[in-house]
Parts: sequence; structure tokens; C-alpha cells
Amino acid sequence: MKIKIIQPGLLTTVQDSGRFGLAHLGVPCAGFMDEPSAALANHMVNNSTDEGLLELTWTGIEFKSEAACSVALAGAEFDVSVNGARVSTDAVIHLQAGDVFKMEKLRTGVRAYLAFAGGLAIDSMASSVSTLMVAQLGGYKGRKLQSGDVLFLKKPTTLPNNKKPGWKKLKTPSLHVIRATLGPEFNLFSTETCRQALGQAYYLTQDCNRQGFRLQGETISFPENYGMISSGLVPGSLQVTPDGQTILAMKDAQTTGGYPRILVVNQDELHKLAQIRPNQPIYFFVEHQ
Amino acid sequence: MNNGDCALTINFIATETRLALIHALCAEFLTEPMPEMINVIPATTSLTLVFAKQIKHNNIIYDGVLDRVNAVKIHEKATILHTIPVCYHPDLAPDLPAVLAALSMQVEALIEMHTATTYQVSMLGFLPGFAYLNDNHQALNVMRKATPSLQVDAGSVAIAGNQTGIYSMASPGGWQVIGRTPLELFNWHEPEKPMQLNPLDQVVFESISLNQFLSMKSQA
Repeated sequence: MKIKIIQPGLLTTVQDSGRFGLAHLGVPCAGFMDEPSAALANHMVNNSTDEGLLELTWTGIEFKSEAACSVALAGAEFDVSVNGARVSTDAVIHLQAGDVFKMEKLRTGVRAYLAFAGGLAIDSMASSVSTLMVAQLGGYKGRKLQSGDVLFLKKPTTLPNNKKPGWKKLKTPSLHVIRATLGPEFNLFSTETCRQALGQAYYLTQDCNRQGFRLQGETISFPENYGMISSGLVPGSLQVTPDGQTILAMKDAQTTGGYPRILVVNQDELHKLAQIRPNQPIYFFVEHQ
Repeated sequence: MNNGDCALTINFIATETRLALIHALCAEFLTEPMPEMINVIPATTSLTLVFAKQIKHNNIIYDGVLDRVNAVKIHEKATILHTIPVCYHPDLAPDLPAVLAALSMQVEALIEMHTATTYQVSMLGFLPGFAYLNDNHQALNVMRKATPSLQVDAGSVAIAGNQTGIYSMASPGGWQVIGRTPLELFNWHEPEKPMQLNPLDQVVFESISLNQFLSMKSQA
């Protein structure tokens, strides 16, 4: 009824669709960075699409299964082996008690989702099992997984061979266009600055985590005498800092912020950001409003 | 005002009762949420309503929100006063030297001004248990840091603009840290009331030495 982590990977956390209703206390929603990929992994093993699973970033995981169970991997594509033999991730993977599941080379994307049929047995906190590392809250002991951790499965089951449809596999364009709306502080920037900010390319820096992505672009002229009054901040907000650079709020972002927001990414586009790699260009497309 | 395609931010004009109004409205939306509403975020001058679906150009939602704003009533509550010990020592406050230099001020003057004020908790937010306090002594007005720090320690007391903030847990942050409290203000093991400070409560700071800080911390 359990799995034992041999290698946890760089950043592996338990996530579900997020923790809502506590933002007034300053609790960020957390949750899947790439929701459609997580839903696909859950769907492949007949879980509900918001079931808690493992989100893996940049590197995979190696674990030993102590019961027969079925797992599915979606989002970033990895080479995967079971007991040293390569297996395809295009379908559900069936494990027997004692099998060692290992994710090896990352092929495409950044974040992968590993769903277990029946789900992980994790205590929910405020109706969610999502890990919020900055507050050491939720998930598995409020932290990323470590070697030797033991995760229990709710009811390990093996399933028929659900497949991953080819058209649902992660696409990784080299140039990203993300739909957005104008931010609440848009009108504090000059017309020329706005034109520049909406037309230019932004490059994802190495400084990108579940809280926020620092982007690098042409310097944006910061509004003069800006009052810095904080207000409610949603994931996807592009905040301009006084040095003229930008920070894109992500799922673990703070609930309020004071930096002026020049635009806010549409919520159904957030998942695309989760699979962008550093140094890739991002353009924001704001529909006429 | 739209705040992305799934959220609305209502800005309130400055009045005596603005903060009480925002929190009364917040409490009401928390007790009786609108359909698909997933979060309510009160701030010093605004209230943000977050929905699970796109609400851009949805007049039914805009009208519904407007009706609730117009109908809200403020309830009088007794205010609670908290005394929070703070150690203003550069070992615990990495930005203290830069702040003193920017304000051309001695540390004694800064402590005197910062402890002389009775603050009001204007909001919680940013991260679990971050408390925003108004208003600083007008001589203590500094900008946020141009580039935020990646790690600010739990208990840090920081200033930016005319506000003081308390970081209840370690996190990244852009405010200028001038001191640290040994108190733990946010506790998840009390799910009913994890946060000691609430909006509209009052706060005064009491200066303590590094030794007092370490001794209080070791007893905590």
C-alpha cells in the first residue's frame, strides 16, 4: 500500500487543483502549475482530474512500489524505466510489488505529473493536499520529497490500458505567445511605455519557481511617484519592479502585491508558462478591450 | 476594475470608515460568496474578488457586486491592542544600515520614532500572516528595495512607504527590514485562528536588546 522514494528529484511536491478560500489570511492557492497535464495524468488512471499527485520539476523521481499499482505520467516527457527496462509513457504503466520505477532523461518541457490510480493518501489541509513550501504547509510534511520518504496509496489498483492521445502530448514551441488582459495599474505607465511593454519579448530567467518567474526584457520605465499601495494579486500578474524588470506571479505567489501590474495573464493560459524554459522568449498578447 | 480575466478589484475612495467598510464587505463575501467565487482579498484601499471562471465583461457579476457594495453595513467591534517586542539590531535587520543612511538618521532616533506610534493592522496578506500596519512616522518613509530579497527571516519587521510590515514566516520580500520580533505570530496548529493579529487591531512596538531577543527566542 505504499511507495518508497529512492531519488526524489530536484523539486517534487504533492499538488492538487489548489487551496481556495483562505487568501484573506494571506494563504496563496498553490496547486498544479500545469493543470491540463495534471488532469490528463489523473484521467489516464481513472482518478478525478483534481486528485492529488506528484509534480516533478526538471528532474524525475525513482521509487520502489511495495504494492501492485498503476501510474500515468503527463506534461514534461521523460525517459522512464521499470526495473531497468524502458517503458512508454504514452499509456498507463503497471507496477508489481517490488518494482522500481525510474524517470531518467528529460526530453521536453519542465514539469511532469505522476498520477497514482486511486490517489495518494495525504492529509488534506483546508480542503487541499497541495504543498505550499514557503509556508511549510500541506502536501507531504509541507515540503518537497526527500530520499527515504514513504508515501501511502489510498487504494492501489491496476487498470486497463488507458492511452495518452497524441494530440494531448505536450507541445513545446520555441516561441511562446500568452494571452493576457491589461493590468490594474496599466494606466499609470505612459502610452509609449505600454506600447513597448506589450510589443517586446521577455526572456524567462533561471530565477523561476512556484512563487514567481523573473523575466528579463528591455527596461520598462517605472511610474514616477508611485504610491506602492498593496492590493489583491492573482497568479499571472506581470509586476514591474523599480529596476524596470518584471516578475510574473505564479501559483504560490503572495496574495497581495504592491508593484504596479502592467498586465495579467488569462487564467486558462497559466499552464503554458509552467513548461517554458529559461532564455526562451515570451510575448504577451492583449486582446483589444 | 478587472484584475485579470477572472478577478475584480474594487477600489474605495478615502473616507474615515474605508477600512471598516472593506472588512465588513469582506466578511460578508466570505459568509455568503457569489457563485464561482474562490477567494476574497481585502487590502488597505481595495477588495479583490477572485472567481473560478472568466468574468470579463460579465454584467450580471458586476451588477451583483455593486448591489452588495451598496448594501453593506459596518458593525462596531472593540479594538484589541498588541504590544510586540522588536530588536533593532543590524545582525537581525539586514537593511537597517541602508535605511539609516538613506534617512540620514541615527538608530536611536529611528527606534524612538518607530516605537512612538500606535499602528493599526490594515490588512493581512502577501503571504500567510504578513501584517500590514499604518501609519509610520512621516520621517520614516523609504522606498521598497529595487530588487526584492530572496529570503527574509520569520519575525522580520520592515518598512516601505508609510507602512510597517511583519513577516510572520520566512519568505522573499521587498520591504526594508529594520528589526525582528521573537514572537511567532502565525500558527497552523490553531486552524480556527492561526493568526494572532487581525485587521483593525492596534499594535505598538517595544524595543528590546539582542540579549533579550535571544532569551525570548530560546524560551519560545
